Amino acid sequence: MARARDDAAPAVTDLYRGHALGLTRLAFVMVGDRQTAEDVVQDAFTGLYRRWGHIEDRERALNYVRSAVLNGCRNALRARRRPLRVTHQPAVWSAETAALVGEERREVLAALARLPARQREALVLRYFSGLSEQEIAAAMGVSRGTVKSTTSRALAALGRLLGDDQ
Amino acid sequence: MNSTEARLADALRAAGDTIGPADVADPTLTPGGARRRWKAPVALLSAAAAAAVIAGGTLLGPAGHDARPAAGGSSPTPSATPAAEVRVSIVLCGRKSTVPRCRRSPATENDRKRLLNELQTFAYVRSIDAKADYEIAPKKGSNLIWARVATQDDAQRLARALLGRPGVESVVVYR
Repeated sequence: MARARDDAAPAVTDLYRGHALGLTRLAFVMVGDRQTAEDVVQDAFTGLYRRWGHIEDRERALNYVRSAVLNGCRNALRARRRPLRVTHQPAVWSAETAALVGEERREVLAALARLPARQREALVLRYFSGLSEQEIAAAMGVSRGTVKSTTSRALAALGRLLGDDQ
Repeated sequence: MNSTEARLADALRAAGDTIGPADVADPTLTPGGARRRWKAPVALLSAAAAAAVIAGGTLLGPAGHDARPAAGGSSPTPSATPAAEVRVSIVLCGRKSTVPRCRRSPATENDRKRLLNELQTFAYVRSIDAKADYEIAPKKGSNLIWARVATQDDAQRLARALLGRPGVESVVVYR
């Protein structure tokens, strides 16, 4: 176990260097504000560090941290729905970001935000992170079949919201 | 890729690209692994009889690096964030901890309350969040306490004050 502990720091650091940016972007498009995205990703890596002794290989570690980021985003979004919680304010795209992203894209992101959480996650992991169905299944903790059907339903719903199906 | 897929991919990419490499802290752990090879601030914390990992960049460098890096030219800051704030995660002992001392005596609710009370007495602690909504362990209860302080020095001071206390497994300093 001590060996695992000693291995944890360099291994987690390597993973952090390789994936922190992508995961922060993923969290950002999920939650909509940078501070929360950074917090979610940092907590995910903290969790990975703590559990390194129980995680056998690098691929599993990446899956673990990706799942932790998704869970963190879910929790953050859930917390915002609680009326008496003040810790996390609703996501507000800054004026600068809004200008950079542009109105049409914001419309797409707004429609995406209206989808159920699972559908939104499946779409973001597929079309932003570029993950395979198998990788999405591992990150979301569901079967490949569920990923396929969820993605399909999500796309159809998004198309309807955007008027793309006409 | 149909129209919806293309629009979605484009919108997500545009939003994601507003976070640039300069917006993500660079880890400062020394590659190579053993705790004795960690950089000075970390070694100092480790010497206090607990493992500590510092995963966050600029504040851990030489003096004068206590400001959060500005967003890069092509990656503007998408939302206002407090400047020069250091986030500290206090990881509480759990039964599955890799630290033997923690496995023998996981943090109790009393440990947690005592830590929270103590944190409130530190004038340099700006805010505390014990709810740990971003629970990293898929288990009941909170195993983290967050605190935000103004500077790296404050973070180091806080870590030194807490490491080795009952119920504290490690202290993680970000940025």
